[in-house]
Amino acid sequence: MEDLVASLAGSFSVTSEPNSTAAPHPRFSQYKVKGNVLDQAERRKRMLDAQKKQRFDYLSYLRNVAEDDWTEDDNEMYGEEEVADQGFEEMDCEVVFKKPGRRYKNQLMLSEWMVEVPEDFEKEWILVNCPVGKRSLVVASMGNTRAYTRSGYCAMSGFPSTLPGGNRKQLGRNENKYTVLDCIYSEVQKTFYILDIMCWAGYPVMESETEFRFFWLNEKVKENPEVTQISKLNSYCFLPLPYHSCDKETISRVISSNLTFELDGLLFYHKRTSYTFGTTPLCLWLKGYMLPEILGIQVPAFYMQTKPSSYSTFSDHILKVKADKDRHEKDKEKALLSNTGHLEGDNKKKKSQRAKQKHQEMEIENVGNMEGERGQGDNTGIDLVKKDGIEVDHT
Amino acid sequence: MDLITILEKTVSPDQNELQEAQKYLEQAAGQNLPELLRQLSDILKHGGNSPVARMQAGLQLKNALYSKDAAVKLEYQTRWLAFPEEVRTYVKKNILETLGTEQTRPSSAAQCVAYVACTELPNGQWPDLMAVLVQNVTNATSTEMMKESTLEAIGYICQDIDPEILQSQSNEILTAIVHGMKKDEPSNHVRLAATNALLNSLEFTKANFDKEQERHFIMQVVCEATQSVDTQVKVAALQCLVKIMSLYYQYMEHYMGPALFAITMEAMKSDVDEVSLQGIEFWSSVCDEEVDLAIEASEAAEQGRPPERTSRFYAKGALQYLIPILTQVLTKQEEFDDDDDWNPCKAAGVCLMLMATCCEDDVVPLVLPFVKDNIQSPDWRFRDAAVMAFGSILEGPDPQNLKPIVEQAMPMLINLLKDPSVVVRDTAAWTVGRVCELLPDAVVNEVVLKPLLQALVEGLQSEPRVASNVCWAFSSLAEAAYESVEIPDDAEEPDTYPLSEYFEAIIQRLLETTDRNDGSQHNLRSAAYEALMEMVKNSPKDCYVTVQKTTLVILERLQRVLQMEGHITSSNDRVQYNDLQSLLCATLQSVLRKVTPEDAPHISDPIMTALLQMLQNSSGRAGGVQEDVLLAMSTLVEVLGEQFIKYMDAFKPYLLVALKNHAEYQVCLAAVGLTGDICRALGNNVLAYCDELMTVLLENLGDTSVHRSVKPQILSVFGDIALAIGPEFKKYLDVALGTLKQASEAQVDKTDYDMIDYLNELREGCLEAYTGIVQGLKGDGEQPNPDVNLVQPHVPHMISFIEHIFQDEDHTDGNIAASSGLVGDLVCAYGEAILPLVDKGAITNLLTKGRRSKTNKTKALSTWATKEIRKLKNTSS
Repeated sequence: MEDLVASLAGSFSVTSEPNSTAAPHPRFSQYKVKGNVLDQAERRKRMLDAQKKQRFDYLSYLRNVAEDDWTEDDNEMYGEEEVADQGFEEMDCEVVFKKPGRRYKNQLMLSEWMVEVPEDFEKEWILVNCPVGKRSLVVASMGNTRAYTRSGYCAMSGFPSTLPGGNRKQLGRNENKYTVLDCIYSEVQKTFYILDIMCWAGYPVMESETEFRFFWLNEKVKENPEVTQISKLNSYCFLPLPYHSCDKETISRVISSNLTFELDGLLFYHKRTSYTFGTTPLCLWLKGYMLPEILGIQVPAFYMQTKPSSYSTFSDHILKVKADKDRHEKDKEKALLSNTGHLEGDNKKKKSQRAKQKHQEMEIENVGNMEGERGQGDNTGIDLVKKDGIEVDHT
Repeated sequence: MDLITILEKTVSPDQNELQEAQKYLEQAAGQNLPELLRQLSDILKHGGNSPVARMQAGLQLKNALYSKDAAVKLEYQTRWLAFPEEVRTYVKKNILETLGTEQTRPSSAAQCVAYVACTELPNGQWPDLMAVLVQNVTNATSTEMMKESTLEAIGYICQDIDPEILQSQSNEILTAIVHGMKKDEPSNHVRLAATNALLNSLEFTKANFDKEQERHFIMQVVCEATQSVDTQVKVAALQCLVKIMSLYYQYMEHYMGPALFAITMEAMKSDVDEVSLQGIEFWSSVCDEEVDLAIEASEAAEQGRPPERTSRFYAKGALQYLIPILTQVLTKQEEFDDDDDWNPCKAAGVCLMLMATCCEDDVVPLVLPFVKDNIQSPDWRFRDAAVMAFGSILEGPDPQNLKPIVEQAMPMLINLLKDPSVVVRDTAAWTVGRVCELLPDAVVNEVVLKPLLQALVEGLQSEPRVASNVCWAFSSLAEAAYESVEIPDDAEEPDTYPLSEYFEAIIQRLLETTDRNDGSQHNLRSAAYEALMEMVKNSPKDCYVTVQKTTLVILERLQRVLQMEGHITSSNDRVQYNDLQSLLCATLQSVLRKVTPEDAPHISDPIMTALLQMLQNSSGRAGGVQEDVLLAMSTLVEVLGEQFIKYMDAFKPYLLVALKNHAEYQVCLAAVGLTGDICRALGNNVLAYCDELMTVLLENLGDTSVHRSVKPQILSVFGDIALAIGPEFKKYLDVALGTLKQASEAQVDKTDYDMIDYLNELREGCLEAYTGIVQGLKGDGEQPNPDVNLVQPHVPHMISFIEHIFQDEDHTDGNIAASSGLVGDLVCAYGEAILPLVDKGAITNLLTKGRRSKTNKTKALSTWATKEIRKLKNTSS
């Protein structure tokens, strides 16, 4: 009946009259307005946003792209850190992933064995004594410090450090500051020995040459002596490793001097290299007991005692490692090929990689790691060692 | 019975006669509608017929041409255009000739003319209409009725038609309108009709406003009309000024000083509410406009270019004259105010707020003296106006400048929460709420906090309107107090905060408030629950015991409310019952988010039972409740993680029902989102349920009765499923990729903004699905799982899809982010093989745009993708 009356309505006021002063006023909603009201629409929106964010966070984890993008050279990377931070600030409930993170996989500069002494060795190379410990990528950003293994596994998460960006007290003041260091972590000494520096307080130095990076690192630590001491805001010591020139006298002196840590081996950096990812022939590695054989430098007797029983000569050792590596490569290819016929691209890639890495042929594994500390993760690791053999990953 | 008799019966009070008339008209329309319309137009035109018959003939005619329902309207218009030419010509001639012959107002013929015009003009027909209408108005011999009805017709046409169609005829239209508005027009009816027509035509007369002389002339007649002694004409003319101000701000300088300022100031002071309202509205519009211009200017400055339009700062200039008037109007409250009435007093409050936003610090010294002089006035109207003025200027001026003033005022405001007048208490509570929201530092301190909390807790027992504002104050206070303390380095929440010692008492009082019998007034119950939610959300560690207790209270209330189900009789009770369930679910969400992972499993059984029961009870009746239940379920899933698996068998049937709820799309949407949450929580364990879920999701995608906003979400959830079950997704791969290809090729009407938004959401859904599938099949091992190669044949399509998105200028930042992410994923999954596809112009440009985005997420993803491509190039070169 109501419809009937309406359809025959005697009045002509059928058109909407937006100009009518009698209509509910459009400004009514502004009168004594209350901010942030949590109605259903708002709750719905928040939930949708949260879901979108969780999806994004999960993908970011899969993509290894949280706050780690300090490799970008556009100097635009600080944005990412904010992203990661907001991700946590806004989420009321932190998502915990079961699988270990791999964000920082393959972001360290790794050495090769020193197969022969480079021609410019004495003039153009720098020696760093490398302590026993776990190779760690230390990232201080957004008020937190984390340490990652060579394979990107987050070994130590969320501790405070006085590195720029490393603790919450710095938030606000140092909002976009972050620091990335290449370290060896000694659990016994609660110390991160700093091998190299990639970025300090948001200022990247990866593109700089070794000499400058080492100089810069020491300067920065001098300016910030608090990083070398354990305190409430600095859970571990951060100590830069001393570096030396590569003339025989210096090497002899250094190897015979009393070290404050247990020596794992010697790293040689080319002065002119920038910080690159993965193995590089511009960074070389020797164990202490190899020095007499390769460099003709005598070492204290206890270094010789660390020589494994299977070790005969350095050239034998290199051949053995190379054979292991080739066999492993083949096994892997076979396994992949038997799984699917779609791998042509992958094979081509591997072949071309092998071809171009002529001088990397000698690139091999850390014997100490293989024999002594298997399963402990990567030690001063040149490359990741697995129980079933050597995995070579150049990417 | 003839048609005239029938028409006269359509206004009969006798229901039988009404029905008889209705039936007759329906039959006649069914048999021969063109003939019926001819006859109706004859009856309308013939002056000898009774006014009722003529008016009803016009109404029936109009109803055959127009409907409020857009689809029906279009159908009627198409039908009309299909009528034989001679019928249409005959009817048009009749209705046009009727103009000016009617004795009733408003004119029926005017509406008939207007609706035929709205149908024919867009199709290029009835070309001589405007000339006739203009002639009707400008002809010196035209009668008052002729001019008035013709101007009404013009007004209706301008109101309903697409402005573009009339642009070419704006000269003729304006000529007629301005002629009718002139001050020497003796009839106020004519002037009113003309002024209303002008108001409707302002949108398409830009070309005329662009010409100085024509603009001067229009402005002159409008300003003159504001001086009419007839209130209706005056109000309509002031409405024109308001609209002109926002449409043609840049041209107003010439008129502001000499005319508009004085006219609108006078209007504001008028005792006639309608006039005063328009005067205030004029200045509110000025503020809106100048705030927009300030934003535009700062954006331009950011981009290093001059702004396209600049502010003339009229509000700032007029401030010293406007503030005294506005504060004066604030004192004209009505004692027993009907909440739905809009009056000058409320308009002045809003205007003052806009003034503060627009003029910032300048407003403070002009308003404060009024506040000081009146806040202790014996007259409640002046006390209330003083508090209102104070509350209105809290946003806009520099908080640093306001802080000391507010600190000084707090004791006074706290006292006013106990004022004898409820109006004053209400405004004081609102003002305190604003302080808590906008200047929390002024209250979260040792001096103010304790007495304030004391007064607020008492205020919870005040009238619903007051208590509702108090609840809002608690919401803001909770957040401010939480943010005032530092979170320790090794924790997610602070140990304690300034509200800790009062926390339990406040929660207790808020719980009591939610139970008040008058809780349905002024949204008090919702406001109290919302405050509760904010208090819980922003609680530190030392309040956890209270949070635990609150969780149990909420759970107990949920169970109690479920028992009420059978006792609901009235529809009013039903509404309140549903609202209560929604609020309890929302509160449950906020307590669940606080519950520790250890405690969650202890309470999840009864929570799950209650939620399932609610879904069962409300199915098909209360979409709002179902939606909130599903949102609460999402939170439970998040909190429990993989432990949610034990409920899956019980919950699955409800989830499927909700996913199939096409009628209430918000329910469907919440269920789709929840499906994604479940995938993330259960990971591979969701596999057992995937067949059914995928089936329903795919059905929904293909079903036109599913609201479109659900579809992009479904695509995203495909990605969630693929991520959860990894290589197992293979079995859905063909159908999923086929669907995605279809969805990614969707096209929409680009003139419709809603559809553009929809398309962008759909594309984002596709991108998220592709990403999930690639990532899922690739696995997270060191080497990509070979299964990912099954998708490789689709990679070229994905890349061209991304290029297509980038080339579409309407793409969103979110599109760029998701596209960049997918590019990076593809590079990681397929390596060198796809390098030629991504290392080229369009993709490079996309990533460059992404890296320059203002959004961090977009920046992060495109930087990452760039890096991955670079890495790949370095190894392959």
